[in-house]
Amino acid sequence: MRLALILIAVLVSSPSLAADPVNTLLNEYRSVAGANTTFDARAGRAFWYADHDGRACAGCHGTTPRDTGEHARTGKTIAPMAPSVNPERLTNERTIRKWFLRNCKWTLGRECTAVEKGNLLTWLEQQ
Amino acid sequence: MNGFTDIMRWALGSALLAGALLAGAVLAAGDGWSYRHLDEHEEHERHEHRHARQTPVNPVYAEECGTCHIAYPARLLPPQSWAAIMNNLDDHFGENAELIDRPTWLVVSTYLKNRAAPPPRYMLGFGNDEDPPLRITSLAWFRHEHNGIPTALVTGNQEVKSLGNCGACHENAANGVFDEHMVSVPGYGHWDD
Repeated sequence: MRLALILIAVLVSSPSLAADPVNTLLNEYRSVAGANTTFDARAGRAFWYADHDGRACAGCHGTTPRDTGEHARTGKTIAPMAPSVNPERLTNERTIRKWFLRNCKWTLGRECTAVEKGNLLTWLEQQ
Repeated sequence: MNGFTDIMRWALGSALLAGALLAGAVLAAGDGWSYRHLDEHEEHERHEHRHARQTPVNPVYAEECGTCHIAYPARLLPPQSWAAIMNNLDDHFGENAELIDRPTWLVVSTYLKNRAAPPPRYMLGFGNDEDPPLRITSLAWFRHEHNGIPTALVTGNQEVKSLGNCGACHENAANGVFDEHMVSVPGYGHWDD
């Protein structure tokens, strides 16, 4: 039983075989938001800096996605989000899902909408 | 002859049982004496079996729980504590640390439960089932090990910030190694009490 669970987890946690996890996710968000949805990088940028009762993406990640951030409580460094600076970013679908879940709930007090995630991913991918 | 052997067996068995009960009572009392006594014993054990204790960290646990802080070794908290932590990941000391799906949650929970602190350590007044300790830094043995360290080196040190930031001073903390002779405080250097 335990071994089976570990195997499942390993399989689930393997990087997606899809060539481009960002495209996979954008397609998924589009299917939720409506087929005619066009994600807007400028709205994604605004979202990055938007203040939610004193909390914002930029608050922990550093001012821009090219900056190194720092975890407010533990002080652990957060590597830049911009793929141009940190090529490991946005390469693992599961990792993107995990941090959208945790960080949206912490920052906004709720999960992000498909449009919010689509806009932000579109902008981040260009950084 | 057989009768004598039986009597001797009975006497030996009774003596062993009495000894075990006495030891159990002393441990269960959890007073300062037994705590220090056990602590010294464990300290010795840690040095003796330092390398044997370096069991590999579960990769799922390391991935899911070792990003914001080190993947704290499961043996540092009793199973009841890990259960309480795993059931409140949406408010994890003020952060959201939810796991992405049920299988992941089960793998991490099972790993922590199986590697949690063994009963003797838990029995020494570290809380109860209804109110288990949630912070390793709140445990008596932890406070004992870290007393006498000036706050300037910890909370007043931007590179440390808190005693929960094990890896700042214990270089090999992520692998579960906390050898007190290998402690180096950022900005201050080697620390040995």
